[in-house]
Amino acid sequence: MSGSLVVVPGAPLLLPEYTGRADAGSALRERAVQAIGAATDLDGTDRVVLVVATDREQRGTRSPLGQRVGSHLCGLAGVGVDGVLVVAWDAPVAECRALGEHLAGRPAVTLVAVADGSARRGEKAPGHLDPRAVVFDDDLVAALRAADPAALLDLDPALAAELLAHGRAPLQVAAAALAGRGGLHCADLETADPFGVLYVVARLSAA
Amino acid sequence: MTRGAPLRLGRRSHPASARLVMAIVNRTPDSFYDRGLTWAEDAALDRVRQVVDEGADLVDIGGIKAAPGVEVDAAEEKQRVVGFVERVRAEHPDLVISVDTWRAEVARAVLKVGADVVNDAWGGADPALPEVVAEFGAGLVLTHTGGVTPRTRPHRIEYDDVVADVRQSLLRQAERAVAAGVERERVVIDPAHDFGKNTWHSLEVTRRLHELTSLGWPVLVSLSNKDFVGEALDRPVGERLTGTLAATALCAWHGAQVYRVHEVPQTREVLDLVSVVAGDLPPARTVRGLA
Repeated sequence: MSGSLVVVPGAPLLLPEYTGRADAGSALRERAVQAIGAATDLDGTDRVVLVVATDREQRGTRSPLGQRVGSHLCGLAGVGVDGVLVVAWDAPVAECRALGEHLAGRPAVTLVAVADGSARRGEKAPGHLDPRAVVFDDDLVAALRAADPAALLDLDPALAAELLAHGRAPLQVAAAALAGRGGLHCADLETADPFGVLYVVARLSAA
Repeated sequence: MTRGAPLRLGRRSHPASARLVMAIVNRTPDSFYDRGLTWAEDAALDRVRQVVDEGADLVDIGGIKAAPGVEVDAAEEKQRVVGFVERVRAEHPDLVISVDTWRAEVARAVLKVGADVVNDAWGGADPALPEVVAEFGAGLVLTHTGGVTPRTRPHRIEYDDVVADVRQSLLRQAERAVAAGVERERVVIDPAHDFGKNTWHSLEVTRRLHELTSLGWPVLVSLSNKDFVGEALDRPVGERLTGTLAATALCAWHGAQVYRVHEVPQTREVLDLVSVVAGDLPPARTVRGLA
């Protein structure tokens, strides 16, 4: 494959059904939609494949939140979703690698990974403060900035689970899909954590 | 949960789910709650500016206190309110202005200078009023008083069924207003808590308000700091806000749509909470559990 990878946040507050009169996610949503649009423009396509994790707190029968958020963002970007790869949020690295390698064997496609960092970045964060969160997230962001699939595949699943870093598995699937690609670079990367969760909007492209 | 009926006030149309704040502006030296605070015209204008800033949907300007007291004839009443309504209209071209009067003569004078609604707080005491309101295409608030004379207190009044009496009186007045030419969606009915009612009556009206909001006419409630709240909680005037707001929430849940009040921001907040719970208004901002 030779398409781009876009990383977008999976916060449910990006969905219209969870938006109040003031839209707490407007800026983040806008950045994510722009990144998807820029990537598909560069790749010369209007179709993407979503890579999302299962819900950690699955209660009912709905599609994973990551899938719904990713689909919504793609819809806003005017981009169709050709497929959704759902990986277990706690999948071992080997499983992520196998899924990614399977994707890499298919024709070129633009990937949109719905992936957040830790949700334990402060006292008011959903998972309260864990001092290891910032270090973990810094490694994750550095790996994306360096467009380094191996570094993404090095993220520790057990630590990620403890830190409620819900994007670890989808990122590792995407990393395996991108591994070995020549000219891979990070074209754009922004982070924010207004609510104690690390949100990443990033765009990795080849050449 | 009950919803009301669509209503029109001034140039605005509101859906059945609307919950509107009508701010009381007294042009009186002796009203029970503010005791003449806005008797001076400039003070009353300041009050209008304040309640507009606080989010009031309309103002209700009154020149005569409800309770017995010094007689105010039509000439004096007009002196108190007509020029004032004119000034408010000039300063707030889009504000919906209601005037609290039972007199057709006064109604005509204020409608001429830009009032949008006449709040007939005394149950149709002046039979000529609906025709005047119709002539100006204005709105009309109708009240149940049990047929008492304006500015008298209820004394030893009983009803077989107070809500049935309220319903019958308001429906009769509403149909009469429409027959007189008042636009149907500009007719608002008010059970008038405390008017012609003891506390037991007002409590029953509150408890059974859905029997009135389901009649197809928008319902106004005037609860603010009234005696039935005070007697319910043994609180004097000045300590009835919490009780008023609790009654406000109950009436809102029962489908009342216009709230005649002294305290605008507190009422607005209670009504917004009810609207949010009812699903008529999205929450202000939602992040909890969704980040």
